[in-house]
Amino acid sequence: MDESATKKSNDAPCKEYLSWQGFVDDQIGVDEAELLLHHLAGCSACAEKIRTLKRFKSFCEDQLGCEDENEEEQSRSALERTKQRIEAQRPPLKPVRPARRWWRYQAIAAVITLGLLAVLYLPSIWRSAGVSAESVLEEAILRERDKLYQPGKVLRWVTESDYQGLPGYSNGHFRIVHWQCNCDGSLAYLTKRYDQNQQLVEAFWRQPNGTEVRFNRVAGDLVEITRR
Amino acid sequence: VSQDFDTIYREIAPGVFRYLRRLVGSRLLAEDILQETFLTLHLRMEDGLEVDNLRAWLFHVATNVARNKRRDAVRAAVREERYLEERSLASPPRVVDIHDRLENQEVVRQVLTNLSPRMRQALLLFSEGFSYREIAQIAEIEATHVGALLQRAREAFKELFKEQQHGRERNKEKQRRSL
Repeated sequence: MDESATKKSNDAPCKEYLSWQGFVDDQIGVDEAELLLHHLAGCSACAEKIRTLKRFKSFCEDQLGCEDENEEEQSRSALERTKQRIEAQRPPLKPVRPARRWWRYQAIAAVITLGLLAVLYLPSIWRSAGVSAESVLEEAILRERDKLYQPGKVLRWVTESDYQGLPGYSNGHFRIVHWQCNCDGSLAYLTKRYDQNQQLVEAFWRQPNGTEVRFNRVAGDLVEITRR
Repeated sequence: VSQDFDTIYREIAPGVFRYLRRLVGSRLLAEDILQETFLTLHLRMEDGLEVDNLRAWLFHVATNVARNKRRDAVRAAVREERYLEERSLASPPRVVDIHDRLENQEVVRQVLTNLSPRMRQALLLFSEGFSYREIAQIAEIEATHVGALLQRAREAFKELFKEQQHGRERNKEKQRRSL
């Protein structure tokens, strides 16, 4: 023990004393404990303080421990009694709802399936015969505009060409809109032929399901003439 | 909370009950508070309780329930219990060492009752194995004050214990003389 420590031993414990309680109760970090131990080695006042704190601690623990030992049996019956009272007062459990959850998942799956089916097959669902060709064409345009053919899932491209005197083809300006589904490769296209006055004179609509509808202008009106 | 209610009760309730019994100084009252605490747990489990430290949470609930009990209710419960105990202990013949143990138990109980509520909480929670930080959370005090509070509580406990014992010895001496 050095001189300063010897001198200290006659005085009150040092400032570190504030941490001694945590040290005794093992509530401080390793680094701090190491520092305090180092200090303790050279300070008898603090060492005495530590001994006192430990004595207090063990006294309390002993007395509380004895008290608990004597209470053991009564505590056991009290706990049992309380458990029974809790059981009696516990509110009824809410009904378990696995079935409901199962239906919820089913409903979600059904909605997703319907959505996918709609995206894939709506183009093939067409109106029955008897509807005017103009409205059919109009609807095809609207459908396209409304992005029923989803970008990323259906490829769309347009070709335009002028045919003059080609064998097997009528003269005029052809505008063809193609759609191809990325998913199953099904193809649909709408061909429109315009005369030199830019008037629509003929149209051909091939739906993804293979149905073909042909329209021609007859007496000023565009009408459906064949469907197969 | 992944454990079921019965398991939690089996594992944690004995400690909570011991703490409460010493905290309020009455077994009957401790039973009531324990019941209220675990009913609260049951309700919260129904709502999907999520806590990091369930044991500390239960001690915190129990402490709050105990704190909310009216003081006069606590005193009445303690009085009633003492009366019942005295009656039950008065008649049967007792072996000396049992008597001494019971007397020691009574002294501890009396000492705890005479400690301030904060000191009592700190002392009892530490004896239940909680860290300073957990004690601070449960008893709603500053974590930095726990060590000093514990120190004062232990000193006071020992002092009061000695006083109680001396008082009882003096009373015994008086009784012997009067006989």
